Amino acid sequence: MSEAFTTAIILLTTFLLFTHYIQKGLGGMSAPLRQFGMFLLTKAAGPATDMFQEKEGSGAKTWMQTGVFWLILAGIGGFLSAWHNYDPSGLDSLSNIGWGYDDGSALAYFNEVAMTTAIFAILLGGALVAHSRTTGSPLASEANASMIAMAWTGQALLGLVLCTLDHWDWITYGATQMALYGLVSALLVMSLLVNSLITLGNRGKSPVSVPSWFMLLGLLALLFSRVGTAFGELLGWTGTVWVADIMASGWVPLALMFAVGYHVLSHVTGQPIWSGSLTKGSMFLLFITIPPFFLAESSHADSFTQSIGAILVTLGLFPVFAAATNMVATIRGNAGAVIDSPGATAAAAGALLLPLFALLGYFTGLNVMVGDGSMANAAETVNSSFLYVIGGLFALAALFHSYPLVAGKSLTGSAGAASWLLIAGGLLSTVLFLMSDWSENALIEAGVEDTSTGLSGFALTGAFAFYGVVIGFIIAGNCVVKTLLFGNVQAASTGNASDISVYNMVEGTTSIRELFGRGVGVDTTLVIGESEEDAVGGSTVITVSSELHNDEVDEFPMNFDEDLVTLTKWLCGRGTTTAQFFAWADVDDSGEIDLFEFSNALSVADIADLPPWDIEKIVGVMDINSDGKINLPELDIALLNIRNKLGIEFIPYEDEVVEEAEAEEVDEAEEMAEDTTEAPSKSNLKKMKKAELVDLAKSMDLDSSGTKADLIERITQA
Amino acid sequence: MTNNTILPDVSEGTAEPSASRVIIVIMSVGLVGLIAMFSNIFGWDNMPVIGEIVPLMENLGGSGIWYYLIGIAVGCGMIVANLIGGVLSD
Repeated sequence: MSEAFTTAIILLTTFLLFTHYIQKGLGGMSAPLRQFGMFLLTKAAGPATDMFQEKEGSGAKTWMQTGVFWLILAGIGGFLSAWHNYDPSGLDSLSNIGWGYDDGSALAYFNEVAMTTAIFAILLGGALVAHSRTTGSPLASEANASMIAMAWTGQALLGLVLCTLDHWDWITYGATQMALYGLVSALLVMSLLVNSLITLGNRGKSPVSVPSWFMLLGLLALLFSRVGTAFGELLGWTGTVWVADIMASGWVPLALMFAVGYHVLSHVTGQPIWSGSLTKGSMFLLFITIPPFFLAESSHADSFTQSIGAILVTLGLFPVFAAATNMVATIRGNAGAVIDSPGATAAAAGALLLPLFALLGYFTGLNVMVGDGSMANAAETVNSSFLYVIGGLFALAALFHSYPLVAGKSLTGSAGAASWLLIAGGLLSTVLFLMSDWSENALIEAGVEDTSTGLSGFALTGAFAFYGVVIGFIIAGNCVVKTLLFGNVQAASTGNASDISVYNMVEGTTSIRELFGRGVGVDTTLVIGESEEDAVGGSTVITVSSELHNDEVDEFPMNFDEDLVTLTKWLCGRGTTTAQFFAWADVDDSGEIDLFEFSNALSVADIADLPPWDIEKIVGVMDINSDGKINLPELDIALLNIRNKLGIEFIPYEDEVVEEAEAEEVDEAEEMAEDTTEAPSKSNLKKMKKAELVDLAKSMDLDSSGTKADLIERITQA
Repeated sequence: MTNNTILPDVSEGTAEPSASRVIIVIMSVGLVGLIAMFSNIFGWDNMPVIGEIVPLMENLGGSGIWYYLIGIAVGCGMIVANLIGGVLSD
């Protein structure tokens, strides 16, 4: 087991470095690494990425939609498995189309793969929603996230097919093939991690949110696990594979459950997470202990290693209890909102039941890990129920809360029924299955040879109770479909609260809908007829309150894009109004600046020479109506917001014009004065009197004698 | 007190509480499950299976599991129908 300790040390070091660099950043390496990461996300996959939408939230939606597919498959598989414990010949009538039931191990394996994939996909989708909303930015590449979601489903299907072909001896699916499979899987996780980290970089100076922490650490754990499995299988390091299994089956699902649970409950109740200490404790201890689920037998290890393992499993109860307590306490005082929201109901139920399952998993799992293994059947039941009930509840929380949020639609369908069916069916079936397991153990100890006859009642009632779980999953899938297709479009930013405390309006027409679209709330003060800038630019002045941002409003982030700030300073320094800049940048006079025009304008003005994805991001910040282009009001709002926030002084261009005009006037006067000292024309001289001509000749130091004609001749020749 | 004379003794609201659907679904699933299950629990095997009711399915529906599978099929069909309906309506 020395490999296990070596792997644990490498793992701990990796986690410490990872968290350090997330907190402190990468300094000068951030920009080039970001560019390289964006290249990998958008270009490295070639045309595959272009098949998916770059629309905000599409990545998280795709993950959850693929997860629903697996959830329903896993639910049906779980019911078949439960029924076959009662009647193994129930589906024998399908044998002519290939159905066969062995000892149940194949179906159990399918259920584990399907449910693990379902939970990972749905919870990751929910965590991505939380990550995106708390960083105030869409994913760095939504298209790439969608592509990875489809690839993840593809690799899970491929894995099942390979196992089946191996079972039929058509191919050999050995250690080498599994290692290769693990490396491919690791690449997919790596892509997700890079996407999430670049997204995190858009948060500015805001702290990393709790859901983001759990998601990022969960992804890192999964990446480490996949790589560890690959190398462990290739090199025969069983200890490394053992650690990798713990990470994949314990850390990752729990981390994603916590990410979704904290987000959903805090958002629905409108209250902050109850305890920072419990949050940090659950986060820190989760990744250095062994969760009490899916514990494997460790008799091949020495007694010292077994003792260390058992202690770590015991300590592993702490983060579970801490997170569950913290989530339940977060809903204090606003339980009504939790009951009204099916997603929050599922999350709260998951948080309440999690400690119970953890205790069951602890006693049964330790019996398997370091004991005589007499409770292996009960441990298997607890692990399976943990996936279906606890994992299912948090998955429903993501589907019923995060999915409508990211789809911009209202939740449609009998979501409440799905949550309660899962709670009731899942809890009842777990109790009945465990009663069956313990009764079976008692009968075996009593020396009864045929235990199945007396236990068929438990198996049947357990299967019946589990039917509630299946129906709950199907109703949840139907809710997702109905929400996507028939859900009412939620009016974004039309909540009671708004970041904008004062909104100044200029002349013209507008509508309440347009004002809501610009982030104005029902309590925003509208000032009509006042303008801070001259009327040339058609200015609009926005004052943003210093309170925390409302989660629904993302048009005016507290941290501005660096290049936009440079542009604002550049314009103000030159005395160029937004309207003048707009007219200059709008090359085709379409009334809108597209991505190319904006990129060109920044480049010509020597402000920034950015790649297309960065230009798209900056335009996205300003693009209130989400048409992918910038119109004059959008540009005006964005730049004035920066100006007012950062106190950038506008130096009017007109002052310089006046000075120049004055200077020109002085020059003209001087020229005129000079002209007056020059000799007038011959015709003018003839109109003058002789005395005047004499004076003029004297002023020009000429001879003043002679006739008027002589004087004129002399002056004109001078 | 005056309103008591205007309102009838029994009145029924027009709005339907969402929780009632939850109760209906749970009761429906529970009752169907109990019907399909009681014969096995109490050792009473007169409960006909689908294969005995529908002659064409004689070889297929030979077990009580088919009652449950019909419910699953209806549920999955509902999802597919919603998908097709939504796509066609667009």
